[in-house]
Amino acid sequence: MWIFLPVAGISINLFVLVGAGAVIGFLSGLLGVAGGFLMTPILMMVGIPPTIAAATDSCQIVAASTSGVAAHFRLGNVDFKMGVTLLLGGLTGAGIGVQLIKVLRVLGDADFLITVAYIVVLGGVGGSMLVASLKKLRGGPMCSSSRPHRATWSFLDKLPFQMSFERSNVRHSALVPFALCTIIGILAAIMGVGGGFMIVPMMVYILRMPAHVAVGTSLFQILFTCAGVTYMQATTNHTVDLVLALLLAAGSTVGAQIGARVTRYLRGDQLLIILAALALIVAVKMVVGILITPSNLLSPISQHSALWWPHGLQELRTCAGGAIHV
Amino acid sequence: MNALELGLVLSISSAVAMSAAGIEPVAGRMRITPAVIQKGFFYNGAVVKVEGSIGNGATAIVTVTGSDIEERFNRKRRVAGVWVNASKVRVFGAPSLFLAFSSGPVRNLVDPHAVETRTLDRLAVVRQICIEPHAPSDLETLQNQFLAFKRDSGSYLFSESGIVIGAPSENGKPFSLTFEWPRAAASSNYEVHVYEVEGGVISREVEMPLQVRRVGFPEWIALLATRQPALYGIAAVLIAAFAGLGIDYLGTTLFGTKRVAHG
Repeated sequence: MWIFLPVAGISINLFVLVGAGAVIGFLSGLLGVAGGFLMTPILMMVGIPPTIAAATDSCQIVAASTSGVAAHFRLGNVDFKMGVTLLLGGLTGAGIGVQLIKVLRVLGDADFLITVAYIVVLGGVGGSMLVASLKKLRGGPMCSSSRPHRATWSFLDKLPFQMSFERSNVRHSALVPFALCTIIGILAAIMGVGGGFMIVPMMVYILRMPAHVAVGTSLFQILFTCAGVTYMQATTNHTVDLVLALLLAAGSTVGAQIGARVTRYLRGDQLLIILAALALIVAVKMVVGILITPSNLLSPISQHSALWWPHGLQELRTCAGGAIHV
Repeated sequence: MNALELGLVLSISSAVAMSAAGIEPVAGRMRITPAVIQKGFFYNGAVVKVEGSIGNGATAIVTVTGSDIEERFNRKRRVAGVWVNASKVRVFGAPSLFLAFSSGPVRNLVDPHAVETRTLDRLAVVRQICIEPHAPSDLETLQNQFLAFKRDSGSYLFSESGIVIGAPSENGKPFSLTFEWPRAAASSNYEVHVYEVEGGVISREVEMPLQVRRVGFPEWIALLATRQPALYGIAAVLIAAFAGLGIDYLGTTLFGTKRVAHG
């Protein structure tokens, strides 16, 4: 069955579209990767124009995140106070990142630097996760908690504006999550990618939040950032295809269900190894992409996502640990 | 002058003008089916048929063209061993869509001057493509790269087959061409040109319009997205959110809410 997408202006096989959403949803349920660096390329592979793919992805994430937040809320995994603090930091960071991109574009080096940032961050995060996970695997199944010893971050306790985040059972200065998410927002805006693989490890390792609360809280933040992105894309660029978004959401939610069930059979460090491998594969692919001669010297301009500051925000996604429904 | 009289005057005027230019009106000799391609919600592409009759000693060339558009591209260069988007170029003067069908190499059928003036083959299309900025030595490369991009997207096609020509008769030879309309072609107005070629000369040219239109639900959504973007944006967010809640409810009903253990 073929469906004509009204804003994308093309016809596409319904099952291919739902299947693409299911693949991303499976990875989301399995690894918590919201698919920022996967969804757009997959949509482009099935014929969706890049600008439509990027903008509509935000809308699809609103649907998936709403479903995820509802589930995590029932499980007590959403820290609204932390979520709002992170959201404010992300907004600030994305705004700074967009201005930085404008400066880089004037200097003429934006695209190359963005590619290098992508490779460095993906490769660095993926590589360190892989090393840490392999060490854990060799250490045996009785893994100690991955949360660092309190003393490592004790200097954070001396900062002003100390607040208790009851749901997360942590106490921090509000400046800490705000500043950390500002940095991630800048990176996300520059790279035009999710940041999901950065924000949940940040919440777990630095803010010392329980992993499942980090997942739920991050989903809450992503819901609002993607809602803002969707609105801005719809009003500024007219590139949000609601039919496409809903079909993707239908597939991704089913895929997430399956992926979440599969996590039963895998340990946490095994999941992290898969996630790390995925990040490294993308990093290697990007390195190969800039080294080999392209098939065409011309590529259509889809304006870099960071230039639209709300789109940079959309990428503050989470490594959603996948416990949506089982 | 009422509408009927005005219509008659316009019809006669166009017929006179077209005859003066050596172009005959459609008037039953050529036909395109469908003349309007409607893209509804379950649109699955379309098959277009062009048919008519030509002289017993003639052959036919058919082209389908869209309006000229301007597009912008990133241009890659190798810098310090890596390929980067080094600059931006503007491409203009090229049609949004160009499909050409003939019964052999066009330059073997028609004199080269006619091929260039009427843009009948790949070389003629390339010469129309304007690219700014460019170094003089780069122009041909960039033109061919643009052409390759359009061919890969299905917007440009140069086929030396597909035209079926029947047996000669008292009324000339029937011919037909059937081709699949490119799925990615935008909703717009296109022109179908049928050239009757005899002895290396274009003896007759017929132009027929082909409209591609969104209809029904897709048209309503697209109009809402462009004319009421704020309303569309808010509706998109709310519909997506409610869809998420609905899927959550469905999942809860079907699968329950057991927690998954995290490693």
